[in-house]
Amino acid sequence: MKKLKLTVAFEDGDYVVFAKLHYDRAPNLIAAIEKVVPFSNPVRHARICESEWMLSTPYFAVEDENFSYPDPGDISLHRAGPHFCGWYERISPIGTTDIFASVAPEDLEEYRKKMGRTWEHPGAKMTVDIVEVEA
Amino acid sequence: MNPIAQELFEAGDRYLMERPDDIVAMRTRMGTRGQNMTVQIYAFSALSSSVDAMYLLQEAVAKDEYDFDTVVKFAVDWLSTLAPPADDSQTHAIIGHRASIHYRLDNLADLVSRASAAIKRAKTRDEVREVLQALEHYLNQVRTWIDLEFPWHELAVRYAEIMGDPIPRPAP
Repeated sequence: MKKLKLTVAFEDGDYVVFAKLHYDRAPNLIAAIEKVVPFSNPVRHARICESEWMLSTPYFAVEDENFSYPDPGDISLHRAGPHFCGWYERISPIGTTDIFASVAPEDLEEYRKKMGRTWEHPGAKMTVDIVEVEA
Repeated sequence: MNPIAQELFEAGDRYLMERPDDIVAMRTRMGTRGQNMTVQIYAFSALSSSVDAMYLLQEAVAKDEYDFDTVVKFAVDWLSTLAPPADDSQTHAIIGHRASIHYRLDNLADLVSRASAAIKRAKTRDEVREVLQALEHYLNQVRTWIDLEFPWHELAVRYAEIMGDPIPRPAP
């Protein structure tokens, strides 16, 4: 099974988390992302939306897919730019977005603590890849 | 591919992990009373709006709902708020040149000027769309590095103190 792999190079060591890819709901979007991974960019925190990290991506143009409100753990493409957005905790969604992957509920506690750091300490290198993992 | 689009895409890709030289220069541009904060805020806002504008225009130019000349004119006029087209520096002199004069983003100003001239010369929607997408990518990457330069958290804490707002919540 293929999963989205995020590796964040924090000062005290790498943090790795995997996310389920929603091939059933965003197949074209995931196909487009598969063409640009792996890539890296300094991870940032959103400034208006609560509990959201952001990552600029290589350029690709796609149509909207699975355009919906995010929940904690969801990862989406914001087409303008473009950049990835990831929600790690409680949210008051400010709009719909192209959700293509989700961090598993059992990983959310650590994910929340790690990604919450990006507000106080933005700029850690995040590497995005799609890799084969055992189911 | 149009040479300026190629140049913009290559610079954008390079800036995924490389801090643009323009950011160093921008930090030396002092605004009112010798401070740099307002320069950064204005530059970040201008580039953020421009990324959205390039995104919307590259979508619009692919469709027939806007005529070709209107899309081209609006794109050039929008871009002229950052830098005037390379072949027409006088027409837009009043509102143009912000990238270089206001923000000291000289490389960005040069690329935007040449891209804007290329959009004016373009004959097809595909040609225009290619340059707009390249601009969207390039401006997004430079915007990202301005964002990273700005101490959002520290200033948000200080702002709350000044305004009498609740202290920002700590990290989870």
